[in-house]
This record gives sequence, structure tokens and C-alpha cells, in this order.
Amino acid sequence: MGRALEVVAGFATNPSTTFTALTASTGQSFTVRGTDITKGTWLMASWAFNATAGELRIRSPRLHDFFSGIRNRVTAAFVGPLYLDPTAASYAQRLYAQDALTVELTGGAAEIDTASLLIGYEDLGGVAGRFIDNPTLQKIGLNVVTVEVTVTAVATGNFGGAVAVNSSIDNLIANTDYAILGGFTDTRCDSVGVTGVDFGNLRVGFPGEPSLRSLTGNWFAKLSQAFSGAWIPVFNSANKTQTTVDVQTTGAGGTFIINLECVQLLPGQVPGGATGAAVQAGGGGAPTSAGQPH
Amino acid sequence: MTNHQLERDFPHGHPAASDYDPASPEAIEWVRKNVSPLGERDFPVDHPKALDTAGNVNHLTWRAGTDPHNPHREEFTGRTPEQAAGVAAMSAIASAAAAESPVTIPLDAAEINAALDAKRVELKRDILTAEEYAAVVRDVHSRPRDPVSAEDVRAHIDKQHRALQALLTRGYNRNTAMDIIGREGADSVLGDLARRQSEE
Repeated sequence: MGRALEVVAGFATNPSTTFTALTASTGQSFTVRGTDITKGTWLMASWAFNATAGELRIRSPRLHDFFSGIRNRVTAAFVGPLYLDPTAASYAQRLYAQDALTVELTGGAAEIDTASLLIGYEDLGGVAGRFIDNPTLQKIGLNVVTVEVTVTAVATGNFGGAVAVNSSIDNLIANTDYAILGGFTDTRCDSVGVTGVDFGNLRVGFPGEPSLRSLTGNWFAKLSQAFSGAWIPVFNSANKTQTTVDVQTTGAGGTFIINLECVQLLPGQVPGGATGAAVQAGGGGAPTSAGQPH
Repeated sequence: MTNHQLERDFPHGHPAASDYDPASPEAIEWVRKNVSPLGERDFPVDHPKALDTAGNVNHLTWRAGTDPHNPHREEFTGRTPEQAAGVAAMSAIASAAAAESPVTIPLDAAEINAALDAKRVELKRDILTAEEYAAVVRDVHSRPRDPVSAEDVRAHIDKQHRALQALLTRGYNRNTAMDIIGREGADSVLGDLARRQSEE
């Protein structure tokens, strides 16, 4: 199955009191991917980063209504989930392939305001990422390791400043799978994105709210639990130079220290990964047992 | 020889002490500490958290990332205003020079990882350069795929939506309707419904 997860971010310039359609970040679109509406596609979360309070509105004739739809207040300078909050039992909004979502924002009159949608695809034709669920993580997890990078964002409202996961500290074990549970940012931004071939070249991401560490630190594990599925992204360190972290934020730009909370996994347990065949075809003598204490 | 009293039964100022003098400083202090005319206190007198303790910090707001004792410092970093201004100026320069992230084309992780592994075996090293990486991705993307035009996709999805609407109208819930469309195909569902309507 071609499972995929994508954070789609956009921005509105000086929206003021007028609902302004978001401009999707470069290379992204608010049109739902896919070619078959029977494949499960879900709006799993949304959030916004406004310097001035506003409203985020998500509409489509395919959803509840095209009048007001999913409309929530955005409080100023706080990037908490608006819809949905995956910290507890939740309900994902079903989306339909090729549906062009209307995503609009109000906010300040002299600023770039931003918002993001997180969309999960259970089976996206031609695209497939590597994901695991929480029981699998408990079974094959070995050690916790943090990836720390410094990202310099652009001030245009687009994703920018992409750096490799090993750009600051190169401590990942060769040819090893790592699950990304979530992460932290030291400075507020709209979205933190992680992109790589292991995620089907789509960008997975989480809200860039530094005061909600208990939310973002294991964001993907929470998604997995709230929506009962495999939504924890896995990458192989053989692809570390091409697995990148970037940031999307308001016109303020800035420099961000991003921590990704990762768990080293037993080799060969998550299908579709690199084997590092050139050097350690047998898995490099990695431990053969794992898991949480019982 | 002086007969000092080594241990008092009640402290100075206590009402039960034999030398109790209500006007003495000790008695006034005892009353201050032990008598609460308004009822039971939350914290003893002079406790740092008691509202009537001089210098208590009960009025402070503990916002995330902010030290209420140093509200002038930048939230989350604790930088002084001068430091924050310096870093902001430096970040602005860096942001202006920063590049937007490259656009990536979606792909199948298993397919691309297999191709990357083949390249690693060929080169006899695990870490590929950006150019080698890009070449492998380019090669995978250039492989022939089933040609499906955008019009065909739109027509297919439109048909699926019509089938879904028809099934919902007939009382199926959405999940069941999706299962039926996925299993039998939209053409079959719409054809079946058209046939039933003509029979009715």
C-alpha cells in the first residue's frame, strides 16, 4: 500500500479582515492528491501562525458545506492545532482525491500569516512512504537519539532553509532505520518539515510551537494513536544526506534550532528501506532484540 | 547560684504562658502569627506564597518561555534585549540569503531505495553525493509509467462521486459505499442503479 503523509503549508499576505485564499508553499497545493476517492485520505490536523489573531477556514463542496465549513479562531502567536488535536480520541475529516480545498485566512494588515494542513493517504497511487504504528515501534525500537539541526528560514512564507539531518551532528549509525516520533523547535514557526525519499519525497511535519513540547515531541506517535494507523515516518541513515529538515514561517524569517526525536529500529523490519548493500548487507551486527521493558 | 529556667512550657507571648502580657511585642507577634479572624488560612503567616507576605510573587504570570522575574528577556531564549536585537539582525540577513527548499517529486520509497542500493553496490560505498542521488532519482522518474491523462482522472473521479452519491441516496453509509465502489467499480455501480431505475 502506498501510504503517505504530507504537510501542506501556505501563506496570506496582509489578509486583514478579509478571508484570503492561502498561497501554497512552492511546489505544494491544497488540491488533494490521488486518483481514486475510495482510498482513505484524511485531514488529520491543521494549525496556523498569525502575528495578529484571525480565522482559518477550510471549505469544499465535497465536505460539510462550502459556506463556512471548518472555521476556527487563530489566536495570535500560538501554533496549536485547530482541527484536529491528535492528543486524544479524534475524528479525521475524509478528503477526496483531486478535490481543491479552499483554505483561507484572516489576520494582520501588514504581515504574512501562515497555516498548514496535515493530510494522510492510506494508499496513494505511485507514491509510498515508510511508516510504522505504535505497536511496531514498541516491538522493534532500540534506542532514542536526537537529530539536531539549525535551519535558517526564508521570509517569504514558503518552506525554506532545508538542511540534511546530519548537517549539524552526524551521529546516526550507518544503514540503520530511524523512526521520527516528533520534534521541537526553539523558536515559533508555522511548520517544521522533514522530506526524504523514505517518505515518498513528500514532506511530513509538525506545528512549530515551542511552548507545546508535550504535543510536538511525539507528534507522529500521537497521530498514530489517535487515528489508529501507521503514521510514524521511518528513514534510513543511508539516505541521511538527502533527508532534509526545513521550516515554513511568517515574514519574520529567523533561525531555528530543530530537534527531531528519533528511535533507532532493528534492521530490516520496515519494508521498502535501503539496505546499505555496499558495506553492511547483513545489518552491521546490530542488536537482534528490542522493545520496551515488560 | 542562679536558677535559670532551661525550658519554657509556652513561648513568650503565648496566651497560656504564666508571664503573658497582651501588650508585649511577643504577644502581639503571637497573635499576628496564630490568629486568623477571617478563618482558616491557605498558608501560614510569612509563608512565601501567602498573599500577605511582603514580596510574594503571587501576582506574576508564568507564561510559557518567559521568566517572570526577567520579563524583559526574550521568550524561550532568555536573551537580553541587546542580544535579541543582535541575533534578530543577524537572522534577518541570513533569512534574506536563505534559499527556499527545493521542490521534490513524489515517488515510491521502495522503488527508489532499491535503485539507490543498486547504485551503492555499484560504487561500493553507502553515502552517495547529491549528484549521484539526483541521477538515480531522475532515472527512476524517467521510467515509463502507465499514461493516464488528467481528463481521464477527472472523469474517473467524477464517476466515483456520482456512484457514491447514488449509494448514499439508497441508504448505504459512506464506508460501505466506498467499499462497494472500490470492489465493484463506479461503472458497475452506476450501471446497476440505472438498470434498477429502468426496471422500476
